[in-house]
Amino acid sequence: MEISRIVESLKKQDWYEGQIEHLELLPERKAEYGRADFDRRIKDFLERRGLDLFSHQSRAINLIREGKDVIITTPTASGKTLAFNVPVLDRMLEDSDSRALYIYPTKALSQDQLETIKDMEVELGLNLEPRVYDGDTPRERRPGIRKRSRIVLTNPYGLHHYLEWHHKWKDFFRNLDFVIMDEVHSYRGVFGSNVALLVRRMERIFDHYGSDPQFVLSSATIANPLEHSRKLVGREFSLVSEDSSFRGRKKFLFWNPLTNPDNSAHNQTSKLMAHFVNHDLQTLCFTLSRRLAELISEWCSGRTDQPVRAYRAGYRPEERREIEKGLRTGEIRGVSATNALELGVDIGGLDAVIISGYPGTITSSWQQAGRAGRGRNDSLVVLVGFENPLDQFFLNHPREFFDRDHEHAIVDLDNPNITMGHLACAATELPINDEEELGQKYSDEIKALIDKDVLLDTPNGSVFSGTYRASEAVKLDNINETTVKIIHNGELLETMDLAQAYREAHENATLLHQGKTYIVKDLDLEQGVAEVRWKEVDYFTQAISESSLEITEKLAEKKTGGVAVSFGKVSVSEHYSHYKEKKYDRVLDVHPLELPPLEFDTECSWFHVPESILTSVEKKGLGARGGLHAIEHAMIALTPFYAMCDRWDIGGFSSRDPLEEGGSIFIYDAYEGGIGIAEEVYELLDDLLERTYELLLDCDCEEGCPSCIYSPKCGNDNDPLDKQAAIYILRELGKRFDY
Amino acid sequence: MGKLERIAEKLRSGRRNRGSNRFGDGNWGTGDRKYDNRRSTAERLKKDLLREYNGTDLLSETDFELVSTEYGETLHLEESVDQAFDPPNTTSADILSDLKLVYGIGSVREKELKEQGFETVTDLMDHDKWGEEAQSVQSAFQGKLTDAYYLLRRWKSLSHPSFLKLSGLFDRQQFAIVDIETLGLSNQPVFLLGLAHPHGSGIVVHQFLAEDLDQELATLMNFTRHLEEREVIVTYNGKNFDIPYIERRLGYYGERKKFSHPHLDLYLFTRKVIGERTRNCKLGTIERSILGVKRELDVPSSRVPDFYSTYRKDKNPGPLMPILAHNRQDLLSLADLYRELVEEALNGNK
Repeated sequence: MEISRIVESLKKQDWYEGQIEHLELLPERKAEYGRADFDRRIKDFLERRGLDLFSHQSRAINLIREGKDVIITTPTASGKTLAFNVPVLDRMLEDSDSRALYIYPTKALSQDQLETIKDMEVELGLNLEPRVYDGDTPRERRPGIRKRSRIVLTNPYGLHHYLEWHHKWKDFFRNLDFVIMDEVHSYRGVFGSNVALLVRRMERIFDHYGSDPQFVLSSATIANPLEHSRKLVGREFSLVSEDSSFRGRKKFLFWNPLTNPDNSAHNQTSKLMAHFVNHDLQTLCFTLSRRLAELISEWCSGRTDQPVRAYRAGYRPEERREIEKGLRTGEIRGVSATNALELGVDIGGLDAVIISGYPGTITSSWQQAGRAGRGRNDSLVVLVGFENPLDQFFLNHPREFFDRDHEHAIVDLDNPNITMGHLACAATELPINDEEELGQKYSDEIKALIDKDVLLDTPNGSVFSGTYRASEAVKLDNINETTVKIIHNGELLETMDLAQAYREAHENATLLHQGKTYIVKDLDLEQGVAEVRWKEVDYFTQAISESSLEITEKLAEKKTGGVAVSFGKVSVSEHYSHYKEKKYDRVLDVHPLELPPLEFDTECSWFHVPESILTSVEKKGLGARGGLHAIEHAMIALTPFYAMCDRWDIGGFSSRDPLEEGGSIFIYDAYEGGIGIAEEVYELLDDLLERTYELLLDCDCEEGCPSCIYSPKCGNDNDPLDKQAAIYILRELGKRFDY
Repeated sequence: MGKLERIAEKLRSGRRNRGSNRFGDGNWGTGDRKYDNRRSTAERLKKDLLREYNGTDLLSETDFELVSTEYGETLHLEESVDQAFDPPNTTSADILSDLKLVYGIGSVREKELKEQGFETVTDLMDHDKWGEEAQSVQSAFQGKLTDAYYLLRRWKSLSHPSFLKLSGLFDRQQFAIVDIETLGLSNQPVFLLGLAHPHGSGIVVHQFLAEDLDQELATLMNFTRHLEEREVIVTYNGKNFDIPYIERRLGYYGERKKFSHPHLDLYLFTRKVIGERTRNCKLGTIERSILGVKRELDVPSSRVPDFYSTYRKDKNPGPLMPILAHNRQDLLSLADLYRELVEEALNGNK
């Protein structure tokens, strides 16, 4: 059935109460083709497959063949992969010693892309022995890959450790002609800054072996691709951004579940999905959590007779491969997934995509929407907005969504908390002979490292003098590596990280896996194992948590106009105190949980808002807590521009003192031990507060919007928030801070 | 302390960022009682040594001499020790009486051929089937000994007793027993290299020491110079650890080196021959149970990096002393162990 008819039939359902707030028609776009020059055999291959080059592909190929460093930011499914595989394979055909390094942010992507390369290789009669080389590669295979593989696929986490052993990669590096980096929009904030320095270390080693490979970067759409590529790699890039691939007509619906209060947003999502699947639309639903991915597919399965699956990162690789294949072949008609399916894994195009809950960034939203569209057919995207004011704002102001800029990817090459670790790692790879070896002058940092005996100055350069492995002391991101294994009948069912285990694998939790329900019999935190038993139940559990923040050590304090501003160490904890037993949206029962709090220690900046200001706010009938909370959000939205980070690198907390002694606002680093952002905030607090005040004054919205006080990751669902209260408080603070 | 110094200090201690504090406490104890006990004993030893050697300096407390080389300064010590190192009295004929040296001949065929009167490989040189292979074995043994070694390598695993017998063909002066001490197990600097070689009726022990890590290259090169004067390397797990480690550290400084000496890794023989009789194949265990060696006030290998680091920081030679003694004893024990293994190989199993 045609999409418009399906949408019409949706309106006739008994649970439809006007949820469709907006319909945006994204018109068909004709493809534009181009020509490029490369080996005859590759041209023949493309012809055999019926692949004509779009003009953005040919432009990219031509630029690469001219020897330029290129960044491609066309959307998923626009054929980016071909745009760099063609020039790489072309070179491989021409030069039998040529090598290429492909870097992906995840292991799953490496595996996926390996198949594509192997396929082309066979067709071209090449024998490149392309291989993935990462933590999962068996020991005994590694020497062979280093020696013989001409294309190696890996990820930043592995490279970070392998560079120290670069002499084992001598032949590979000497003959390296290309470095391909995919999904580079993921490399932003603290993680991105770490990767940028890793790239500098790599370039230094390439130089040591006398090679100078070209870099080709692929990215989702971001606001600043040229700046980002320059920061990541340290070179000037040529940009290919116009998507000239064919795009079928896309209907983009905004769905507001609030108009039907008897049905939760999740319930409605599953009903939408069932409706589409039953009308033979292959549908992909993106959810905000792993649990929801399971729940949605479970509820949907009850309403369809077609296979509907869940997909998430914790599944075993074989399971994921199976689902990806099922999507490609069309055998699986519906999948509800986390954003694990957002990155470029090839699943073909789908007829319908449901985005259940605004994913947090415009970039992600379009990545997810980009999965819809198969060949020439029309496709459908539905954004289901949750109750969160942020989602509601977009539902009510669709132009704010469709006309909005993509986010900036921010990378900081000057944060010593990040750079100094990499200088130490670089010293284990080769002695440091020049303060500019990592791309810019780090003389002060090197001097401090020598002063504290991390590096030793010798006639052969500065060498690493520690007894541990530098790459183990330097983490690229803040992802907690502790994994908990979920075991059923002695076999591994899936894995999850620690926080997730607290939420979903506590004793007596119901755990959904591919439509089957399991009850957790025992969670052994020390061993990192949860034992589950299969049991059919008609309820599910939901753990409830409380966050708190405790100051452990004040390191600095200043008073500006009587307002105390502090910087120090804090302990942030999340305490899962009890869980609910629910059936759909109804709460059946509540039980206590005995789990220790999830704590991490970090650094934080905070300031105190005097009681007098809060009292007068309340006298005006405004909400003091809402005002503090709003200021916290707005400051977090602005901090990335002051401290060169990503908003996911920081966290915030605000509170009104229960004993009525004013209130406090906290901004902390989301990295164990701190990463220097909160410290920067402490230095620049005056400026940041002033800018926050200006932001709220200038913002045209009445009660708040995603540009000022609505946060995509608020643990309290953006509640309470009071924009007017915030403005008042900031004005009063302004008198004391003198802005 | 400025910001940069604070960050460097964090890196200095190598403290890794940990997740929830339930899983790693960053404090002292590891929970492994044996490890922790050894650690506290070692800590006490270190304290005693620091006290004893307070105010002294390395060169006056030991026989180390400062040597100037083109790579910088380094420390060198040479000591004659009255200890035997006796390769077996092998003759070519002994070795060549093992028909299994010929590719394709196993124990069964050897028995048959010997019954037919073919006593040595030389006898087989005109054989219809085995002549060609026998000839290449023969010529390898007539040429350079290292050729014979490499020929043997093609058919036999490194733990095969014929290598011990083959070593008897080399002149005893050509042997170099090697053992190193490093700041870690992967890529950290090497600060001490021990090399012992037979001389006259005894052994000369050399120790090449980096007074501080800025002497690492000079120390490595000095050691290399001495090693290249010998033909055969003897180590304990050196095939996998010591030699590749030295090559790696040389590579770090841009000196490309590959040691192609015939290598007798006594660990490989020990594991095969003696290993079942002892609890494990650690050199310490072998020393105690087989060689009857007992070390006084020894520093456990796991504490060596820490002891050297303390010496570097305080410039107090105390913690370095047991490391030097440990390294010296390692070399001498290997000489002993070599003798034991040779005996087993000659008298024992085939």
